[in-house]
Amino acid sequence: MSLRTGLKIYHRLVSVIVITGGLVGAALLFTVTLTTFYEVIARYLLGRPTSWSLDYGIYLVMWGTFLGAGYTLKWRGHICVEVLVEKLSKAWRRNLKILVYALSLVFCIILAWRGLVSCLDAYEYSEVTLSYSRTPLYVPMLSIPVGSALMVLEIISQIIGMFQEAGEEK
Amino acid sequence: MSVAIFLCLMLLLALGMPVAFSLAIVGFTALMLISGPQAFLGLPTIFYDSLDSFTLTAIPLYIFMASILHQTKASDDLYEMVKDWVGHFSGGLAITSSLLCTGFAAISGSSVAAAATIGRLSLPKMLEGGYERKFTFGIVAAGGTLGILIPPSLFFILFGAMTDVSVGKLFIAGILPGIIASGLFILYIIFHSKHRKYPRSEPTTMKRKLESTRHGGWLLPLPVVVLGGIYVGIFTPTEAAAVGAVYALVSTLIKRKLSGKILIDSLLQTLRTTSMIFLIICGALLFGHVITLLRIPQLLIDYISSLGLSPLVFIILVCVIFIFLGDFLEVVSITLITLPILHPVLVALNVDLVWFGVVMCITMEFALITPPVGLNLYVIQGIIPDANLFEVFRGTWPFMLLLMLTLILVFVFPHLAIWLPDAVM
Repeated sequence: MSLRTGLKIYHRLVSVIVITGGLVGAALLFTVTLTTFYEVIARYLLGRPTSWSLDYGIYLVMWGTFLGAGYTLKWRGHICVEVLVEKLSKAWRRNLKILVYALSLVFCIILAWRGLVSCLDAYEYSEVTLSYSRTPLYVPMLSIPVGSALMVLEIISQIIGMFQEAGEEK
Repeated sequence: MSVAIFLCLMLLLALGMPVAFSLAIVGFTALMLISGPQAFLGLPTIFYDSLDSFTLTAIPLYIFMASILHQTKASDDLYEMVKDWVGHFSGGLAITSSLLCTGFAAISGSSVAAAATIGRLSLPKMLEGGYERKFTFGIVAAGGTLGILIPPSLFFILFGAMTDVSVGKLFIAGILPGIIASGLFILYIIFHSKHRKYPRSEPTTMKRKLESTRHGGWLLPLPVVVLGGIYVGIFTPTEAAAVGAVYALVSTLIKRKLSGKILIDSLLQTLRTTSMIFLIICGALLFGHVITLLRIPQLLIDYISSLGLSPLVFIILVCVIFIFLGDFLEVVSITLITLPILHPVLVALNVDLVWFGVVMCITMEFALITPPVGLNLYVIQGIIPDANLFEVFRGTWPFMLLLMLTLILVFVFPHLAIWLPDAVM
């Protein structure tokens, strides 16, 4: 298998993983809408407020945010200041972008790694959240390393893509 | 070190790094320099704590609601309705657009959503109607900015989450200044249209008016339910958002405007915006953590008192800085970068935070329409591709003067912002 096909498979694979993350994240946000609405119904119509809707709303949004982080990167949805960069030549703009992405990559790797360690600790010591539901802490916390890992995959894919583009131009 | 941190942040931002990563990387590097390997331990906890807030849960819900209404083109019916009522005044189409911007601001929490939804509909019609290009651009770009001042408002949710001020109070506080700004816009439009002798449409019969109201009025209960519910304390702003989103879903379903594709597209759009905003929140709170460790707010307080600045002069200075920052950054970033520094200072100076929230909100409206980074200007460009950025900007400046007038009014009569929330909550 040549390097070229290998990379192609990698791009394809990352694309599938990241988009799946996006779809699951979107479904979670839909669920938050329904659970929060149900809380209002439960309180006024059923006279029985839930004990979980508030906490779970937070955790679902947290998972949604991080599952969607890689997908948002793919869509170039993360806001950045482009006014100055736009003035540069195409090649320079790309070099700069590779630098920026490489820095972001380092950060995401650290976040994924430390996030995972924190989750393992929370699991081992059976830590729970400080809220009413007393959910095991690793459940919401795990969204951080998972989301960071998705960003790592996507950033690597984009960096490789930029190198390939530069190679083709030469 | 403090100066170096801000320089590094500006450098990364200028290099085009996403705002969330710029904040997080500078914050984390500084944290490592200050507390060594401890920084690694604290990192996931800071990210976790940043998002552990039910107030913030409201953000995706309001975005979802606006996204559904935008994608189902729900505002088309509303447009016909408003046009039937006010179209026969001079500048009728312009007044319609402006009223709709205000109306959509009362449904959505985002200025960009308001400008995009109303602009798509009304810009082509005004241009066909022979209105001057930059005037029509200005109406929509500036009218859309009311999205964050008139509740619900994503800005107020962020502000509330960062300062522990009740989001419900902030929402209510935005109502009067929002109505004043909108009223000033409409007065200017009427005056300008009379002067330019813009066409008016034929007056419609009462029957037609009632008919189009019956047809298009199904969105009208939405702001009443959402705001009314918060106002009388039936539900929290977050729950109100969920109720509003379900209302939008059910009503567009009944109207046969909602499809599976639109639902998924709306959800994905909601996810992208949420992810973008929430990662900036994480980055900003990491950055804010460092700011606090370095005692920068305290230094600022000492500096202000050594200069003998009065709180009012300080806030005017802050507003100038906000408007300046607004040229280069968008609203979420400015809010999240500056508030961790300003909040302790404002508390020390005994500034009413609800009032300050409204003042800051109005300065953020400038940020939306000042180039080079003015999101609403790009929205107009997205709808009318041959519109030049500065042409749009030239159209907005009369409205910027009116916004400035609103800001001055809120400064001179603080009760415009604080009377209503104090009276009801």
